[in-house]
Amino acid sequence: MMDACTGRVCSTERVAIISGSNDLCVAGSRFYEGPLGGNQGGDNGSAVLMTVTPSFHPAATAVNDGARIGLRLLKVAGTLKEKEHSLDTVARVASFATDLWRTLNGDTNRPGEYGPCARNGSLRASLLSLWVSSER
Amino acid sequence: MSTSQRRLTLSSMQDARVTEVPVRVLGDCLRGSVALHSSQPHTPAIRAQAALAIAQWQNNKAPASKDAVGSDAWLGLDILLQYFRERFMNTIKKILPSRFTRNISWKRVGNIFTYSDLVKDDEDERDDFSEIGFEEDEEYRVRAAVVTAISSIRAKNGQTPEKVLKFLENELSDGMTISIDDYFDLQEGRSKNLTPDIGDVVRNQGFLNDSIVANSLLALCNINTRPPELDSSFVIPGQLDVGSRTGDISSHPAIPLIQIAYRWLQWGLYKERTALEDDSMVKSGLSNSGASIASSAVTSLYSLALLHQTTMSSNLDSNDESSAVLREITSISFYIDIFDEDKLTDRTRAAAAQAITCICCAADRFLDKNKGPTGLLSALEFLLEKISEFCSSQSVHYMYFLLTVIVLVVYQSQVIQLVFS
Repeated sequence: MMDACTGRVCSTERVAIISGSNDLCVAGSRFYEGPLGGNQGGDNGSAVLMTVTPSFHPAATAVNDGARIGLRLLKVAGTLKEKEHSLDTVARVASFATDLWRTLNGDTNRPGEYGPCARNGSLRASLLSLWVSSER
Repeated sequence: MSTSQRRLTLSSMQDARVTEVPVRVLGDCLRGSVALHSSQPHTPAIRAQAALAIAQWQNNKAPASKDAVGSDAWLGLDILLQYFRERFMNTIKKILPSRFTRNISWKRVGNIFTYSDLVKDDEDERDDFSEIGFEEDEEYRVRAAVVTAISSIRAKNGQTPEKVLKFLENELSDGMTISIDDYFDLQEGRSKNLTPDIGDVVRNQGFLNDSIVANSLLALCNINTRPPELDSSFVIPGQLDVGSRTGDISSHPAIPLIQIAYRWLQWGLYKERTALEDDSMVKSGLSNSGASIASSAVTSLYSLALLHQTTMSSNLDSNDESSAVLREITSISFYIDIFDEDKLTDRTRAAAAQAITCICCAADRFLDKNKGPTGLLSALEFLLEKISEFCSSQSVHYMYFLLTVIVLVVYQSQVIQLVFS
């Protein structure tokens, strides 16, 4: 959550901090000093807190629980075994998946124009990771 | 004659108990004690790490409850707070702003600089140090690390102690008074056509503490608190709902912090909206310095809003100020308005996008299968639409911001999923 505020999002070199207990302190130390002890700006990335529990991080738990449920919807909506969700919801997921697939392949809704991924490999890779995440 | 030697057991070293020695040593390091390898204090980088290590030690030795009292219970926290009081508070216990430069005197012989504080007290030699200059004072990095370290401290049950909440409240309140007063003095002068010299204002201010404020706002994301549970034997029947944590929302310990963060957000947004109106403001450096306040305030606000929502069920229909603020910061439209505003910086709009995504995800917990958990889907649709809108523009950074949000949420969810499965 620190990421959007650091102002260093232009860099494509990112690091994920995976730590155990005391992960807030470890993440803080990485973000403040970096792995080599340089000042402010050694690391740029996201801290994944491995000890998220309802009693320790209730807000993060709420987001994670919701994201997990939402990802499951993207994964199972429209499959043969799945009958839980309404047709409207399934249609929305299908429409979103179509837009995502077109966008990451460099297409756009407007004829004669290149999509945002046409000349941007990083963007394409990021959207592809979202696609893969929804598939698993 | 027996050659066996009795086992030596030490209970204290230099008036400190052995178990406290590590944190005492770290405290000395934080204060700038002389390092073993040289006659100089440790560098700010080392001292910042020492502050975070003290917090780590405190969390390992944390008492069972946040209400624990006694000199041993919060030793690490007390060392950090004492350091902060010594260095960054004045005699009337007001928190001082951060200085980013310091005056130094040195002399230069060829390409070699000699600083006056590195020579012994010799008046003849001191006269040679006539040149006065400015250097970056890295003390503010240590200060930022101390604030983060203090905010990370928890009891064993995961609750943030009261002292930490009070500290963050004071720090943000004092910083607000100083910064806003200075800025509005400047605005008032402009409105009355007094045309004050902005350079003078900046010099008189002597500090730009916005990054410290932004850091403190981000530190609010680390806290975890909930309304106190009352023992049923202390409650008059029919007056309070014991145990279910319902009732007056102002009883939640996070409410004062939410109100302060909300005021900082209004202030940061105002500053960003007016930053580009005047060239002289842009050139002064004053305008750009607040760019991180609004984004940090957005991040802290949605985090605190979710914390309040998950730890207390309350009725937000009342018309008091706290309810109005809570209604606003828990609604998606509030962040969408920030996102859609062209005058704001990309950083602030990205923080709003992150807030939208997280609040949408959190809402999925409450939706049943008939209605569909479409929170994450709605957020992703929104972000993808915005990415497509900017496909022909030069806002490459902007798109990275949005992607950061998407990937962050998705990866966060997956890793946590692995842990629990």
